[in-house]
Amino acid sequence: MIKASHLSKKYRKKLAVDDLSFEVQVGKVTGFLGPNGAGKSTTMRLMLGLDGGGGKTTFDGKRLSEHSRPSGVVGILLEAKAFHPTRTARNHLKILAAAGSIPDKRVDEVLDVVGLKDVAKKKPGKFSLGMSQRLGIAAALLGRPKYLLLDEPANGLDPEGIAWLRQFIKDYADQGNAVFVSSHLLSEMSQMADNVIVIGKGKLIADTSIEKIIAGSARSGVFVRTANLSKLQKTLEAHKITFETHANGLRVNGVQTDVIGKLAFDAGLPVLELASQSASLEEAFLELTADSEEYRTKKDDKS
Amino acid sequence: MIAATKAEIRKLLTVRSTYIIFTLSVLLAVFFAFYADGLRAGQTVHDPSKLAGEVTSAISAVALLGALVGVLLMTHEYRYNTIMYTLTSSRNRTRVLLAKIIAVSLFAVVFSLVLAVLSPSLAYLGIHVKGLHLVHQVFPVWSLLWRSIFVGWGFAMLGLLLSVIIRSQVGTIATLFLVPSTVEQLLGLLLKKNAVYLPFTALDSVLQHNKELTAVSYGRVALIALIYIVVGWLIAWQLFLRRDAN
Repeated sequence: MIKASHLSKKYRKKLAVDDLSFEVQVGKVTGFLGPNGAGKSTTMRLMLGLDGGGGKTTFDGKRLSEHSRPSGVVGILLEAKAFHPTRTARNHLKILAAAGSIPDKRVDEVLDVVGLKDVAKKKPGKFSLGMSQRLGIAAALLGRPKYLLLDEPANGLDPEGIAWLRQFIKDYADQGNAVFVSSHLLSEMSQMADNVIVIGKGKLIADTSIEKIIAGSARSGVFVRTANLSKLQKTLEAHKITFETHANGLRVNGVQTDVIGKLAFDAGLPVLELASQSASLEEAFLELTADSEEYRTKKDDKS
Repeated sequence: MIAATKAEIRKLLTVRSTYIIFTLSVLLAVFFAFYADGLRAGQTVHDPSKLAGEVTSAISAVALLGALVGVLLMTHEYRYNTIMYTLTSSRNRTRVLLAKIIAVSLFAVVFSLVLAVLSPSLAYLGIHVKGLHLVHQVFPVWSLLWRSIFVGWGFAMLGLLLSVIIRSQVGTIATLFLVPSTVEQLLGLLLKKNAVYLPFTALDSVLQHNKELTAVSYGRVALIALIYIVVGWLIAWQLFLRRDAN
């Protein structure tokens, strides 16, 4: 398990990470979400000891520097283009392999895994963003680490690449490893993450499962339409259930369809439409981080 | 430690700049030793220390070029952000720094040795091709050897430690070239004989043994340069341990 405790980082007067604590469980994919400038990359760098700051992060109870072979503990992808542009892809990985006491034959294995075997002798300076990401993922996998820390690994990948990455990450976690992954592609995150950690302005906003985040959204609820709307409103009010009028019916929050169905039946109301409405992860995310967005777009008044 | 050193050596050997700098240095040696001091030797063939002078001139001329290899090894890490891989694959930053020092030192020793052997050999060849004959030569092998290696290594260390402190590629290269060629030259006008207490001047004096500084032995100027290198490394080491890796 990765345990981050009271992480903090200050740049001059700005608090980039503010007393952040969370855990990343083995066997699960943990998503790391937050608006731009929320402190996701800084948090990952703090976890790895790349940046100085408060708090500590342990990997199986020990700091990364206390493990005898760090590359077997954690594999990282923090930036897609982190390579010398004129050093071949294979040589780039061979250097990382040497530093981690990993046999050179592993280099060809990971190049094969990420689909870059044919360009192993090419200089990555001319690689597309997607190919660079694949090289970064290969670097992360070199030491067969128990933990993967991936910062926006899907950036620049084509649809096939994204699908491959999603399945790869899920499989990797299923093999008894843990994957901690940040992404702006919320639809992708909803398909691969078991848990999500949401931060805003460096602070923890949520640390829970995707299902709970979506269920807790104000946009999740039940839509009900009946011939006698006012009677249904009174019934719901009597049971202290909150609702709002929506289209020709009511949108009810915090209850399941069967509860509404039963109440309507007991009240003798014919139900014309009853549907469960689930928010998307994107809607839930926007709701959670509404007060934490540092760089928000403005609506053009002229349009 | 061995793994980190192996990785650093691989870094040196897998970029074009190492080979370009090495080749350029050899070409300069060929031009100056073989052509300028060999084929066009003239009356200098009567100088009993001509070949010894070839060694010191060659090292003095290209030591800064050799130092660039170390500078690029370090600054490329920050420029291309590979420093994050380097630091996370090692247990502590001191080991990373030691590995870089070892790798650059090995390069500097090989670089200095090649030039120390090549330059007098090429000059000798040029003189013979021209049909001239050298007078009996005074060639203090061991003195020339340790001084050549020390100066080559010293420049490489100063370059490497400056790159650890400055981190910017352009900034480090500019500092490495401007300090000995301009700053110390200007200070030398003020300090006169005491200019030998400046780092690059001290290092260069190990080879040149400036006539104005004859009171100071090779060993002493080497010690002055070594003190600068050690103190510089203590500062660079502390900064490397404490600063964010970006």
